[in-house]
Amino acid sequence: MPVIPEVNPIPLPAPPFLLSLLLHLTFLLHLIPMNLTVGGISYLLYSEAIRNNSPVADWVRSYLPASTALTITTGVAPLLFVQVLYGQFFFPATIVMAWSWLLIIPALLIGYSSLYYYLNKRQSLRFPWIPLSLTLFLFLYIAFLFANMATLMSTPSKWQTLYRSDPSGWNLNLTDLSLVPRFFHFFLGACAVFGLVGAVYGGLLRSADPVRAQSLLSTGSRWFVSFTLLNFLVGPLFLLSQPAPIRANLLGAHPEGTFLLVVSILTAAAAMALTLSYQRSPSKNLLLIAGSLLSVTLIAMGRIRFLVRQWTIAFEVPDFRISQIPAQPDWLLFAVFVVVLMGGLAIIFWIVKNWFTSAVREGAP
Amino acid sequence: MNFPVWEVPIIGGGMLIGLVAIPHVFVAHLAIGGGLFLPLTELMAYQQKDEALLNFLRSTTRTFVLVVLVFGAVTGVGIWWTIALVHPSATSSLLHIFLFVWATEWVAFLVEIVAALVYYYGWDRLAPAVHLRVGFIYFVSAWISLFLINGILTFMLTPGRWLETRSVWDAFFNPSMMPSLFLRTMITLALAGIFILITSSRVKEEALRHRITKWAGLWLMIPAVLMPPALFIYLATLPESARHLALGGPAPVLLVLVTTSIVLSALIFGFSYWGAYRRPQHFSAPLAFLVAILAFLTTGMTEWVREAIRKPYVIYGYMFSNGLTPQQAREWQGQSLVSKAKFTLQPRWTNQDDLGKEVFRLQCSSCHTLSGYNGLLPLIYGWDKEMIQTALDRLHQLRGFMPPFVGSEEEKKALTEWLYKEAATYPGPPIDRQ
Repeated sequence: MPVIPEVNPIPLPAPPFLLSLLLHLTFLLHLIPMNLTVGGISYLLYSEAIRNNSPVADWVRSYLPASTALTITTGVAPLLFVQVLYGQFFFPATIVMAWSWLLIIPALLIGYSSLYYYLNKRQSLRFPWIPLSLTLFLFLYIAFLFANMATLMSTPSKWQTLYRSDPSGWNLNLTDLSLVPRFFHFFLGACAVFGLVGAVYGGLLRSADPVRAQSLLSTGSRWFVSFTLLNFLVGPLFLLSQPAPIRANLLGAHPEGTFLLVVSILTAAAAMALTLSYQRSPSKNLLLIAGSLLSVTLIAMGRIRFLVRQWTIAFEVPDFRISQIPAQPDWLLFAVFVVVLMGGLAIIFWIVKNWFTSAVREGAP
Repeated sequence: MNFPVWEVPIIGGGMLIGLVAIPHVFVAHLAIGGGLFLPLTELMAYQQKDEALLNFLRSTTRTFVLVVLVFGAVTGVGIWWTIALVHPSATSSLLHIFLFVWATEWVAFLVEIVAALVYYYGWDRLAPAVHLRVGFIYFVSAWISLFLINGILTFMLTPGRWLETRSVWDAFFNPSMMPSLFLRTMITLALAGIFILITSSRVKEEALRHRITKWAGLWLMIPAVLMPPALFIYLATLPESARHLALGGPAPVLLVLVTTSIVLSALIFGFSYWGAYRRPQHFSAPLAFLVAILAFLTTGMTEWVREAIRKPYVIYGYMFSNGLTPQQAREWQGQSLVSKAKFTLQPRWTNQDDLGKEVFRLQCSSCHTLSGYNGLLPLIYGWDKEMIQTALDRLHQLRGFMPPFVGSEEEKKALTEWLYKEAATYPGPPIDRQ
């Protein structure tokens, strides 16, 4: 059995199942702005490359400052819960790849600044695709590093070898077969989700702004269908790249895992079929149902991701159980958190509601 | 000894944390003070129907929000990244103690980001009353972030009753929490004033520029008056040995830093009062930048001192900077350290030099490099083996800011030999070793 650090002697402040639930919920929350940001920037780059300034590009530019900021903010919470539930795995894995992992920070800083540079100076830039490419490249570097971290933290048997080969922390988990399919699965998924969100938004705009709606509908649907089809190729590769016992779990041996995989494939396929059928009989309900189905896909995939991590870790460290991490709940503090969360969400709702109910003032610069 | 040791060459892990943390602390404090300055001044502008002032605020918001959203948020995450790599045991402990404090802070951060974006983009969209409210929401949520993070930060230096009770409430409401919160709140006001001194220096219309400069100068006066007594109260809450270190104990450089930061603070407040407040017409952009540079240096020095006086601990009384706890140090005395380490460079030790190097990596490298920042070789240059061995024997008694050496006699000897050999290669002045 590989060496793993001992669990922190300070007990968790809440039962592990509750922290695990919070990890699931906050990760799903993070997926929304993350997909819109990565998918949106990819679309913008494509649009700049073919010099086609469509209403979709305007729409993407209008939301990118918010979605990028929210990608960072919503990413904090799941990582917090990962660090307490899987600290024995997360910390060693990131230290083994320390410099590459730390470079995420300058990559984010430069990528984010470059995005603002593009957004503010686009009109006067001769090659606006340059800062945009830099942003996409750096953001994908971050995604690639997260894929490295996720695969490496689940395989402790590699830590000691990698660490001894380079203790200064320039290692990556490049020998992991699932690394590349995992990265592309997430990247293509982000482009697909972006497409469907655009199409749904177009469907909602149809009576208010038909021209813009049409552009969003056709481009969004095209992106959603194309990238989902591509993911139907990459997904099986991702599955095949998993170790045999994990593959077996997803293909029948583990009822929950198998059920979730079937659900996620069927809901994604159904969402795609509904989006295609919208072209023949336009009804915004079809798109809303497609959106709901894709949400189910994401929830199921999120749960599969959690199960696969559990299985991969158990494969090497059979004794590890999240449920056995010592906990000494402090319910008062948890209640404070819940109250602040409710209050915070209410305030955000109030702010967003005011934003959407106000129109740009006459004569504003 | 639970986690792998990350080797950071030349600058070491401590300096790396400082390089990420100091710019963040500077911007994060500005983000709070500025968050009060903008809506408060906007309110004044509405009351006085001052369109010119509103236009200034509108353009300043852009710079402010970009700095806060891009630099502030990303470097904040950067500190978390860095401490987790350099001090994984301490980071893990802090997360276990303060998980829901951090989670609550995350909610405040989320509100802060949404409010900042809507405040910035909402200048020409929201009704003035709503816009103002969003501005104040931004400030309150940003200050709540400070309130929560300050509790965690001060805990590391003054854990207080937590050491006995293990209650998160005792940990959070620790002895230096309130004075530190007050001091930091004052710093936010001062930095807001300095930020506005810089942005107002670009204003073309003279009368408006003078008015804003004077108003920004006033923001520095409040901290100038209230910070000195608060600093004394803060110092009184520190552990005796930490206060001793700050005020000229065994590391005189810290007293130099404390004195310099007090002198620089006096200069900042002096420039602000006699320059910005009394003679706004003479206050220029270069002077504003000079004040900002002085403030940055002061922030760097004070944060550096705060970190340094915690030595030999990373969590005072609970965990040494190298991740060992005092209990482990007692229980493992005389036992092999490398055999307890989970991650080492070799599976077994046949070469004594390699063993010595490993002991250094495990036990010293969280604070020391070999010949870079806080390098050991310059410190022991010219020492003979007996001196090195004696220093290791009585490490915690000699200077007061070092943890005790933990390990077997063989490991101590291996470290002594290895350090002695390495020091001989150090290019110092010629020394007669006889």
